[in-house]
Amino acid sequence: MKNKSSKITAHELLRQKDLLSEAQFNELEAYQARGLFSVRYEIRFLVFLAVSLFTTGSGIFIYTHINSVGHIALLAIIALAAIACYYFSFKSAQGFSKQQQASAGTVHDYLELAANLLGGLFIGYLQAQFSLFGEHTDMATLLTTLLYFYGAYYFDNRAVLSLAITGLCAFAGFTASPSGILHNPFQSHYMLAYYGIAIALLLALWTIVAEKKNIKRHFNPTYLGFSLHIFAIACLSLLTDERFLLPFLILISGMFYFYKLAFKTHNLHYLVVAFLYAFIGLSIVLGQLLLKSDGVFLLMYASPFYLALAIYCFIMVLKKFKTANDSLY
Amino acid sequence: MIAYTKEPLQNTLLLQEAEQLKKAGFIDGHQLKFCTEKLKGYSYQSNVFAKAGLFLLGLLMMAACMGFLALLFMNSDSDPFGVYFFICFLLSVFALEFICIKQLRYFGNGLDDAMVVSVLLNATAFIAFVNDSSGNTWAVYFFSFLIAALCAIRYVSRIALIGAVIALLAYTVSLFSLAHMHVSLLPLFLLVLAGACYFTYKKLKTGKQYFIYQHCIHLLYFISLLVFYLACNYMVVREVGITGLSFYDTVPGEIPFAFVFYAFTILCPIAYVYFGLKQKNKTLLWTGLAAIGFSVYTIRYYHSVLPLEIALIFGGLLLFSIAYYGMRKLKGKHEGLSYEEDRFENSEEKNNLEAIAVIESYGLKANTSQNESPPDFGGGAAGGAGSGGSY
Repeated sequence: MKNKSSKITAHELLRQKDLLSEAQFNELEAYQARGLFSVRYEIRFLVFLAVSLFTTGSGIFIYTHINSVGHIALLAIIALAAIACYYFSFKSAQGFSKQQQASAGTVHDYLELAANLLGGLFIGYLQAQFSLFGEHTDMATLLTTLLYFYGAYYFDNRAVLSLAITGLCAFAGFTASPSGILHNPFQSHYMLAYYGIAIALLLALWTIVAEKKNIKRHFNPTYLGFSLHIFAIACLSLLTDERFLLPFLILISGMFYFYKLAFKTHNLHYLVVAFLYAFIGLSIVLGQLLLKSDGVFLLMYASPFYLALAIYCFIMVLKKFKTANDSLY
Repeated sequence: MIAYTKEPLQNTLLLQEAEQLKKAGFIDGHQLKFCTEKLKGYSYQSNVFAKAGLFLLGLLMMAACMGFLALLFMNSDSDPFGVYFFICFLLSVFALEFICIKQLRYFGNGLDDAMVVSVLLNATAFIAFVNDSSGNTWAVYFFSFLIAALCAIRYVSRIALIGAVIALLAYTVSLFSLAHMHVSLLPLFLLVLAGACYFTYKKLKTGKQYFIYQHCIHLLYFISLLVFYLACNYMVVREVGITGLSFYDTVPGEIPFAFVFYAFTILCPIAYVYFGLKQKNKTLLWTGLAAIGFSVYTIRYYHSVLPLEIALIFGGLLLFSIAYYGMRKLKGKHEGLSYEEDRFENSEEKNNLEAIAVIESYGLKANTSQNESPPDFGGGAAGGAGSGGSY
């Protein structure tokens, strides 16, 4: 309910139907009367926007004035800024723990993020300018990734963890971000798709280990999110090739794993995404088979029934999830 | 008038509120289960992804059925588009009314949204193909508006409401160009239109009998805010005047009443943010923030006020100071404007959005090109600060 007045109407109606006790209704009324207006996420958004604007502007400024500043001086500035951010982050950090730690505040979250970003920038700049690793540019990416992983696990920061995973994927050769995936990196490089599947499997395996050994279990949703999408998109890219049977089997088994996982963790998101990816995969494979056997007419006549069947299966699966979820209470 | 029965529909909405109360911690699981048993209503889908998935699948299925139907019309000489779309329209209405609503009892499920879209598109296509002469586009828009408004009321559908507003805007603009009125009056007309929407919203907001329409009513509010701002935004007025409607024969140096539009572009978003904070209205606040962004873009598009990097650096510093000041002042307050979290707020969604934004701007990009010319900041493997600009 977006509207406050409609919310109040809803509470009154619930009270009338005797579904809310008098005490609960009074509690709700008191809460509404406080008139709490949380601008927390608006402020966090402003901070994020401010940081993005500032860094982009500084980047452009430095790029246009690089000749007057000089590379060594710039490296020194970045190193100093990174050390400063790291100093403040370490000071306020609670040390490594296997459990989830409460955040020290928005500013500290962004400080930790900034520290890691500047560290990564330092390494990348060393490589780009002075060829620290010679021809092997991915070594710089690997070093940055290890730095980010260390930062994520020490500071218990999920944003840095996400960056670390993108670093791992960048090391393998593809960009794991929404825009990167849209440019379809797997289309022409089939080996890359298998690397993607391997990384997704690695991430999923790690979540199993982390679950058993209880090492920062709250990081698992992040890992699984990346794993699911990378796995599925890599498999789907392979399906457009000649030999589509093996990727299709891999896709189905992977999506089945996430389907089971959705029931285990009571997370509808995995279920829906896995089902949709499996559906797309199945559609591509059926299309391939039809093209091979010259059955285009079958496509025209059968497609309404195929889609109706897919919708029916989807609804059945959703119902099954709902009943499994309801039995929790 | 309405296709759903009032009592079950009300129960569905009450159940949604009950689920929110459970999430916020006001009631517990047992009570929620009791509510679910007592409030017999329509089946709806609360998860956004499931809804989107069902919506896509529903659209695909309607498209497949329409394609299947098109096979029947394949062999005729003349193109019977009008008849075809009319039959598809009837099919969509049948699917929506009897299957989705009566039989399966869906509401707010992705499928019935897909059916509503199908109904609207087929109706519009039918009207468009029946109408032969090109001078009657206003009639097409008008009847589309009527059908969309009818759908919005009958099926309590937000999508139909969006369609109705788009049709109404198109109708207004086409009438305008038909009547050859002076182009400067168009923004004024659109302002009046937005005002009418807002007035309707105000009338409907407090009526208890409109409880079932609350999502639509809220959407109407948002649309009226949006149309009000865009009607007099300088860029919109100028570009629509030049390219969209060919009101000007040549590109004008400055549009008439430019000063008014500049003032509006600057003042309107600030007013939105101010009143949003004062009235504690999230919609107004976010619309104001987005409008500020668009206004900044608009003004920068036509006039270079500052060099880009200086503007970005100062903008960043300014926003950060506002945010920091806000945090300091509002932390720990439990009444009024505050930094603390609202119990009803859905924090998981917003955290996910934040994570995606961070990955997109700061994530490490893969090495696509082997030869990089120094200095190469944002390119190559060194993602990080400053990766937003492209060098």
